[in-house]
Amino acid sequence: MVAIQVEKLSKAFSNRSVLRGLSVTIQGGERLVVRGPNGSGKSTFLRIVAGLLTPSAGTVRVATADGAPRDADWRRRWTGYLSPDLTLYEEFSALENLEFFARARGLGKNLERDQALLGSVGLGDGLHDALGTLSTGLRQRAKLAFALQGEPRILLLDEPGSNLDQAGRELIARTVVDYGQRQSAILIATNDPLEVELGTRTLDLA
Amino acid sequence: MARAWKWVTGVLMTASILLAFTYSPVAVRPRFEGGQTIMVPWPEFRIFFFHVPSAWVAALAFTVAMIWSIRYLRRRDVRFDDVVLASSELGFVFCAVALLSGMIWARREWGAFWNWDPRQNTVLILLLIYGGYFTLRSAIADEDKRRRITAVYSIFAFATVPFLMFIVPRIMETLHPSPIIKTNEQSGVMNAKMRQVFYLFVLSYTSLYLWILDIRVRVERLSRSNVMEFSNEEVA
Amino acid sequence: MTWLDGALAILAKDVRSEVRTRAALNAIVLFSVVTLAVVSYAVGSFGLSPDVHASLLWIIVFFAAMAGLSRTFVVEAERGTEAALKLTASGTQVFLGKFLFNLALLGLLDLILIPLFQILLPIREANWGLLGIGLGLGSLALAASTTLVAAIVAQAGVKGALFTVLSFPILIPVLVAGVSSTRKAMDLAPWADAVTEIQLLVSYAGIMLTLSFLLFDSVWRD
Repeated sequence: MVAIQVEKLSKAFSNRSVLRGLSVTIQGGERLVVRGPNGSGKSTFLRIVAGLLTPSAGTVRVATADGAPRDADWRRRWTGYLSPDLTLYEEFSALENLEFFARARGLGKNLERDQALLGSVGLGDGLHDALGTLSTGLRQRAKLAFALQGEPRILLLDEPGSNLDQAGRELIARTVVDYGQRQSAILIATNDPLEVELGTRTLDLA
Repeated sequence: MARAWKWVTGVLMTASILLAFTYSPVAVRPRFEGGQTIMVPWPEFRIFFFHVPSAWVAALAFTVAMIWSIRYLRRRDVRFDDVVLASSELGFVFCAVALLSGMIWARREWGAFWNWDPRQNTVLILLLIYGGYFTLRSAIADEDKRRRITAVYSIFAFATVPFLMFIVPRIMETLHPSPIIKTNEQSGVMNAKMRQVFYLFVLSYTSLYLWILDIRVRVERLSRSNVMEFSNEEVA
Repeated sequence: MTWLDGALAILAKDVRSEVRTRAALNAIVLFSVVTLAVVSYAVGSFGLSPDVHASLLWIIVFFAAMAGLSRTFVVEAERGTEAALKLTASGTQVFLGKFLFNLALLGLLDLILIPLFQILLPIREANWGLLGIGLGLGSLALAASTTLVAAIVAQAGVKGALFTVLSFPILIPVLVAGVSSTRKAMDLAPWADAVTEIQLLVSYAGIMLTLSFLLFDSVWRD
């Protein structure tokens, strides 16, 4: 069981304050939807939890069942992140991308595992095509596979449905529910009403 | 406290300059003439009182910038970066002064502005590092990123200094054996009184540096504060 | 050791990417070939003293390095793949992988440059062992000092000649020691004569690498 403890989180960019003293705890199994108008800090919040940004003040602590705090290495291994500004290597295929990131994460080489993962997100064909040649929808699916690598205990999805067709959105919904049942902690940043439905709790940033 | 510093600097500087021309005897140096070695007056030596302390301050400023850069990276307190910026600016100016006075000296003494003398090179390289620092500062838009990245550069560039000052000159001597008098010799030329004035100059320049550093840091801090805040305070 | 495997994965990825796009390699090789051709043309049939000969070699190496060594970080920033890297690899893994890539790039440059040199600006006789070691260690020190700078430049907005401006002062000890050792090699000096140069290059590489490892996270982590 994992828990994310956010305490008095603040972030300011060059005098523009985006997050002000945000405190919230997300338990494994919870699906927290983060809502708010543009510029309210949804993406910034997710980025900080993902470890991509350092806060100006406050802390984000991750602990597991035994209460042991988990460091950056653990979080890199067990966090899945998806966002519009995440870009994978366009000159490589989806499979090559996954192979590389698996090694970077310390998951080792496993062709079947990577192929299965890509198959599960609907990229059974086009495995070997350079990402740059695929449609944005397929690229979004590749990014989803990237986020799901290693069966993350923390799943951070920033506008996961963007660029996806109906089937894709259903895939997102199924994934979210599935990972919730696996007791992963899930954060979804979105204003899309259908995605908001997926949450067990809502956090409004305004 | 800061007010007093102005007076301390003023007194030290004035005293140093006066003493340089009165108390300190005119330097002499040996010249081989007509089969004999005679001592001839060497008034130009006085430029050393200005040249060397400038170089010293440039090096001091660089060290301060490096230390405060480390402090900034540890605590991310903007005030530390203010010191890095101010010290780098001052270091740059004093470095330019040291370089120019050194070039005047070289022209007077050896007929050329530039000699590829290892000391000249070190001061020039220091100037280039400062230049790099400012170029980098202006190349990054986001303020926090700017402070963080330039702090790293300050620290990293500093690591070259021990090499530049000690090891590189040794190698360069084999590359360009210098027919010119090495600057070490000059200190052998100074007698006790001259040495006293010299150290007084070092003290004065350091005082000058600290005084302007303090002012510059305060200016930087003021420029950051929100003008609206002041007016609100007054109203409340 | 999975940690090392991660760093090597990054090296492998950069190599694979380079094989496909050949961007950095083109820049480096083209630059050095053109410069070498120009110099050779200008020098003509005049004999070159070891001083000048050594300097020319290092000038070409320096500028070729400036043309190509910043790419490994700059492309990650420009293509937007930095985030994915930060999410999966640690700072030390990224730095080690990219340093090894730059080292490989320089090593390749050296291997191409020496035969080309022999054709266009022939070195008649030299202490080849010393020449090779000097060039090799110099390349090591070069890569060690500039990889962090490349990471710094990738974070800046307007890049232009920033990499060269920032690297030059830091590389001066390397250039001085490199030129000096190469000159001595061309003078047929024995190894013992170049001990200071070799010591400088090795210690410089070591110190710069250590410092880079310590400072990298401050550059890499937002």
